[in-house]
Amino acid sequence: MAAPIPNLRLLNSSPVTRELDLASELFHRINRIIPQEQSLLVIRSDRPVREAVALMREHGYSQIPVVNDGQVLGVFSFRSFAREAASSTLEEWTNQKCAPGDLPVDEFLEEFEFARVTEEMSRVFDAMDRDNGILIGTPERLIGIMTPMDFLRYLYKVASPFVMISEIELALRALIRIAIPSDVLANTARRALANAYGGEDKAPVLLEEMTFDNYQSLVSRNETWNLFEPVFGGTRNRTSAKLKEVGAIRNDLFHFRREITIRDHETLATHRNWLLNKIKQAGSPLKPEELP
Amino acid sequence: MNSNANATGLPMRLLPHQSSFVDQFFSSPGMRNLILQARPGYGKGSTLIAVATRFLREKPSARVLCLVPGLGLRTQFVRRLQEQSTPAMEMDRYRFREMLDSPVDQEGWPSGIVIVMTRELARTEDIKRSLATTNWDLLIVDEFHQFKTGRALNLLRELTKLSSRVILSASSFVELPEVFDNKDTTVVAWTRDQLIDFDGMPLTTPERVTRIVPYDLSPDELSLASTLNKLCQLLRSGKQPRGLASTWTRSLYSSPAALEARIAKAEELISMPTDDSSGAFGDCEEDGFYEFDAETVGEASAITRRLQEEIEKLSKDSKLLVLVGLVNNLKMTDLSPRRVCVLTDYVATLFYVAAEIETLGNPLFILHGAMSFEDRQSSIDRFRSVGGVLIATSAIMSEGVALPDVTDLVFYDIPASPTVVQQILGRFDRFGRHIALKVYALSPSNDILGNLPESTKTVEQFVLAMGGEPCE
Repeated sequence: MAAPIPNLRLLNSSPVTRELDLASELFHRINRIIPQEQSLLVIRSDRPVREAVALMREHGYSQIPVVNDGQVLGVFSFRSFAREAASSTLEEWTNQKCAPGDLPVDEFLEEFEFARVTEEMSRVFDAMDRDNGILIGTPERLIGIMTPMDFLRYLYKVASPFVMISEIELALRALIRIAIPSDVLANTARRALANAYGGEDKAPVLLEEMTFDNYQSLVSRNETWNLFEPVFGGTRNRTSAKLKEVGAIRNDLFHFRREITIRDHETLATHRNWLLNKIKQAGSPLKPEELP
Repeated sequence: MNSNANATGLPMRLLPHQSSFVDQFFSSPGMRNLILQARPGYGKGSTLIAVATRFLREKPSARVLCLVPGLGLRTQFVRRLQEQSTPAMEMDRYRFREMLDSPVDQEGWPSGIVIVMTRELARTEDIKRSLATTNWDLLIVDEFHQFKTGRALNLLRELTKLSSRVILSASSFVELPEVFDNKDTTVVAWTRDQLIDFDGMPLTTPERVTRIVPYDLSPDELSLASTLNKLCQLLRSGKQPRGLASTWTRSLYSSPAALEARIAKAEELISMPTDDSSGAFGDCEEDGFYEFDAETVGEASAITRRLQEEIEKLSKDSKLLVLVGLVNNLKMTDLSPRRVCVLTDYVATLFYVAAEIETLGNPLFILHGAMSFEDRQSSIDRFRSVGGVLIATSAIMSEGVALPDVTDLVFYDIPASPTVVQQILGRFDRFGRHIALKVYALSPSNDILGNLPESTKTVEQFVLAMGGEPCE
């Protein structure tokens, strides 16, 4: 039998544990999907359904793990309650001589699968589909609970900055095309980017060949601002600052230098909306295929 | 010369006052709580690293916990410990979960390694509970004076009870919280006149020079301020807390970019389909969310639209122009290399100022909290090596940055609190400085319809915090 593999660097400093610890930092595994500040809500098995439902409604949850002395017994959910309640006849309810809300939650438990924080997200798809959630940890040590919404939020968080950057970049290209006639663009680009590329002849002249920093240089150059002002509005400096900020986030994102923060996300969304407004205001004379 | 390294048994070189503290700690095992009080810039951080390093060398299976104020300091502590070949790890929520879920470690917190975590993480309920199940051999709390609320003090009380030895550091001289029994606690306070260098000479830094740089707002800028004032009056009416209006005012004072970012945030919240729009004119980080009725939100929303229109029409920025003039006047040449640091409270302002300063042709670097540790270090190293202008956020200055070779420090935004000013100065006016630090603070000189008194008060507090009369 294979020996259990430690999954944390702090346990010892062997190369194996370091690799595993690195893996959890670099790969999108279950640990990353559970909300960072999830506070685990549990209930004892002898508590009445009424109390469980009140707790779930208060916190906006549809399920709650049932735990006695640290041991997970199962999960009480609206579904497990409905399933059991619907399967009883009126006679059975009458014989019990109490309302369904007075019964203890352990009469309505369902079993959830457990997953470890270091497992791959694909491993739990079936269980999530079937149970609408999965417990994290072990029956003796419950660490968290993961729901399909947690999955959706996580994937959105990971993917949306890339989507917004692509929208921003394409919108920027479109606005530059609106501001400068195509026959003027090449000469303007050569002059604006000559320093960065060590000569006018080496500078890119097609927007598709330029980097995001090139767009910023092109738009925010003192000498060319008069061309862009009617499209971007405001001052050169404000436009330049926005593009500079987006450019910094873009470089960090595309070079995987750091995690994108909530503030970065807000900044991207704000500047994306600003460009969207500029596109709307420009009343684009572009052909449909040139629009972002 | 590395005599201090030999004395402490550590590879790092410590100044006499630092070595003395380390020796005091190790020669008095009965001294349970040791409090180290000193202004920023006196080398508390290095001293804490030295204590933790030597502690683990003498007791390799010890459990050591280190609480720090922020993420930047967390990374910095761990890196500095690792530079001393001391096992250390940054603890975050993900690692905590892995620790709980580890199939081989059922004993809780590991030994033989310094666990470094932020105070905020330690205060979360499950982690606090878990920390309280362990007997710590050494507890280090950096900037403990920031433990102010009941919850934070409770955590400190519990952890102190569970720890054999405790070291707490504070940047300001504070009264001991009742968490500590005076009998068990020794306070070590470093004051400037007591400190000496490796050669036994007094450790002094040249007197700094402060200058308030006034700027006149243009009619368009005054009109913008007037419109914002209407929003502030609306926010000040009724039961809204006082701080809320001033956060808007501070963004106006900072730059059109900062104000624009605040407007965008408010508009995003207004557009939400839920009740969340009631928080649109608050700030979850600074002020908490406040309740507003629909009518107030509608009125405030109309004002923010007007603000945005007025920002669009602004053709010049008086404050930025004054900064450009100031940087130009500093005449950065090869013969007199200068290192100018411009501080702002807002990331939006940072990029706004950077976009203008880069057109001046000086080497330009930026530094803010969202940057990775490596990128921050690279910015600082290149700035120290080639000089030029470093534009940084004020917040990052509380994360252990050391810039003793800056020649000119510009407060683009004047901090509202004298304590923050002191903390920031500690990053610049510290040991290693050979020439006087010149400090500039930009302040509006003409009235912006009732807001100026607030600004004047801030400037007065600022001057007081600088400890001297400013030159005009």
